[in-house]
Amino acid sequence: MTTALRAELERISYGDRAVLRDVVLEIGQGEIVGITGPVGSGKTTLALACAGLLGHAVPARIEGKIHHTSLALPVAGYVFDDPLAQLTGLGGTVEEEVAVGPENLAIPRDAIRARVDRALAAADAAHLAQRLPDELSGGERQRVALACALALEAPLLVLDEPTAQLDPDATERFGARLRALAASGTSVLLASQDTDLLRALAARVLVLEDGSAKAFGRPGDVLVTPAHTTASVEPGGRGGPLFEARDVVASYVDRTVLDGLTLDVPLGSATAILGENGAGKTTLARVVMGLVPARGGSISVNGQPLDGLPVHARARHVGLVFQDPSRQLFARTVLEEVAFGPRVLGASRHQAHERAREALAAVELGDLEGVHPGDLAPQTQRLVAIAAAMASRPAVLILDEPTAGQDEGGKRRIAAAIARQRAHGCAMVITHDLGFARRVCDRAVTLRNGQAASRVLSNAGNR
Amino acid sequence: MIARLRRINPLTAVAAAVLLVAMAYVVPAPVGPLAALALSLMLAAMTGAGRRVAILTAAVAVPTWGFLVVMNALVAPEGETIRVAGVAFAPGALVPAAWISLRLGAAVAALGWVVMTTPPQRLVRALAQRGLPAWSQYLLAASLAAVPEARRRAGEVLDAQRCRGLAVGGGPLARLRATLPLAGPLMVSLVTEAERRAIALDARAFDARGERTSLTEVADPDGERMLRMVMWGAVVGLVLWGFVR
Repeated sequence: MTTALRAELERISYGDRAVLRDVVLEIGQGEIVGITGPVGSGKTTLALACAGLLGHAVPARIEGKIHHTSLALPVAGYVFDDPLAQLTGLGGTVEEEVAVGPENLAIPRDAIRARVDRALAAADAAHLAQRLPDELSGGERQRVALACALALEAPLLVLDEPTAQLDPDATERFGARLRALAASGTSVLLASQDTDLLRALAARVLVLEDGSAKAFGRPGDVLVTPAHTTASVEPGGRGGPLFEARDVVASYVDRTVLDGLTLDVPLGSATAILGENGAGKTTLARVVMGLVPARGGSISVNGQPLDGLPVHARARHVGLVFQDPSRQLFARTVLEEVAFGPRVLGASRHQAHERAREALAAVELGDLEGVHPGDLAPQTQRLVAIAAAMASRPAVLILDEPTAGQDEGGKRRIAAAIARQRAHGCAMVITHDLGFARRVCDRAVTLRNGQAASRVLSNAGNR
Repeated sequence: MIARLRRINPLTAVAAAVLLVAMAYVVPAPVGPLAALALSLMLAAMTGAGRRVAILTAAVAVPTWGFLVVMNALVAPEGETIRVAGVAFAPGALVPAAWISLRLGAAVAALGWVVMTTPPQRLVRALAQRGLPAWSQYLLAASLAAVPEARRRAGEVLDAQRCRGLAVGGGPLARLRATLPLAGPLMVSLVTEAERRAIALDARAFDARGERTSLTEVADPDGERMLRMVMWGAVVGLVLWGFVR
């Protein structure tokens, strides 16, 4: 197999901080190579370096060599872990945004059109072509981000957590298309925490730990099956429903998203909210919180209707962790961030700090209380946001895609937080991570056509 | 006519707005600023932004008038004064204050019409067709998007605070009060966002050689080009007339 890329890196550092040491990576033409490792192990840095993006917009010092066999420019298409970061703002519609890359390459209009159409189709995003980029759901954005990278038609495609927000069907289609792309000669470097995805797609996987290569070889040889059980979920549903939604209708300007949705979540339950990208899962969370007005129906917690209550009053009953919490953190320290909720809900400073420390301990972040939230990795920021929502001790805790980009350690902490929530209330977990849902949830609800279909998860015993 | 106005080339809209601003400031008051204001509001109404432009105009012009009245009539009265509750008051200062705020209002209405009805990306594409360099295109797009982006970010942070129990209240002043302490974190996040965008551009071959091409073309009929030339000529004429009269 012809080598498409060979990287021999002695050291990559940001300022004085070395993040990668002694890494050798080789990718053959048409080969899919994976990178995995815990949060902070250097996956994204290596991916950026291989895509030729370090040292330009990202100031970093590279000691070593990265050799791309192809002379084609650009050397790589890159998909960021945060799909919002992919968007330049130069395109008014999705197809215009996807066209930005080919436009920069100064190719003729007809060729741009052909590339945009191919990229949108390959990313399963042709139906989004005329949508506004700002109005897409997280999963839809991820598809558009992939299309943006594909439209460059570079010999190497570098993907950083490309399926973190995709639904299972979309992930399967993504895998099939990635294989087809590789079969046509494109080399792929896939950085992911999802070991199942790497097993299914990658020919070889590089495992990183603390910035060094731990192993490089076939997935079966180097990937370790996470040591968690799948039958540890305690039965939920003590007594009647704690959370009730009846015939909820919600819509945006041009489309109805929730169309008569009815849903019960009992006390002590963790319910997974599933559904395709754009099915209305995040909208449901925002309607419950009052951020999106319901056009019809009713929502209640513990028998108390939330309808008509302002957002801040609903916070006494419901805690919401957003899909992208990094954009919602605002305090100067982690402790102040987590204590904010209890403080504004009436707790004294001492009480608020006590509750914040409890919540931080629940996600094992007690040692970070003096750190600025902005200095944390996105995955750790998500844990801070979970602690911030839990600190107010809401009866209902809603987590929107909590495991996106998390390593096994992060997922374990989130699972522990959900188990703790079930002890005194209930949790709703919006997720595409079915494995995680089976580990922590006793029930699942699938949203389709604006309505909900409930089912008991298979591993949850005979409930 | 209205449909055509909505599809107008953004450069034509910019030329019209500049002409209206020149008219408001150069043609003597009240005719010049009143005509410019009326035309701007009419254009805004025809393109679906009448209410928003009117509110923006009033929000700027009315407080300005009030401020100037206080400054000119009470703080530093000139000419004939009357005493109201023991304070010297110059009624003659009301009229100049009205003309200044009317001119400002007309300028805000004209520029507000363009900003509220022209997607920044379309304006950038129209400029790119006229040869604007790639980096300038991005800088312009980023500048035009900066205010909406900051508003969106502030809204997200405010939503996060409300979701944790902060009572913000319904009025814009209450929202502003709640947002002010966030100015620091907001600025930091906007700078971080700018860095991310720079990386995104790098990843999208922004440093490639050659003149950028375009997927879509913003229509620029001959009639509109002629109209723009006439309007820019009128702007130059008005400015020169303003100097010599």
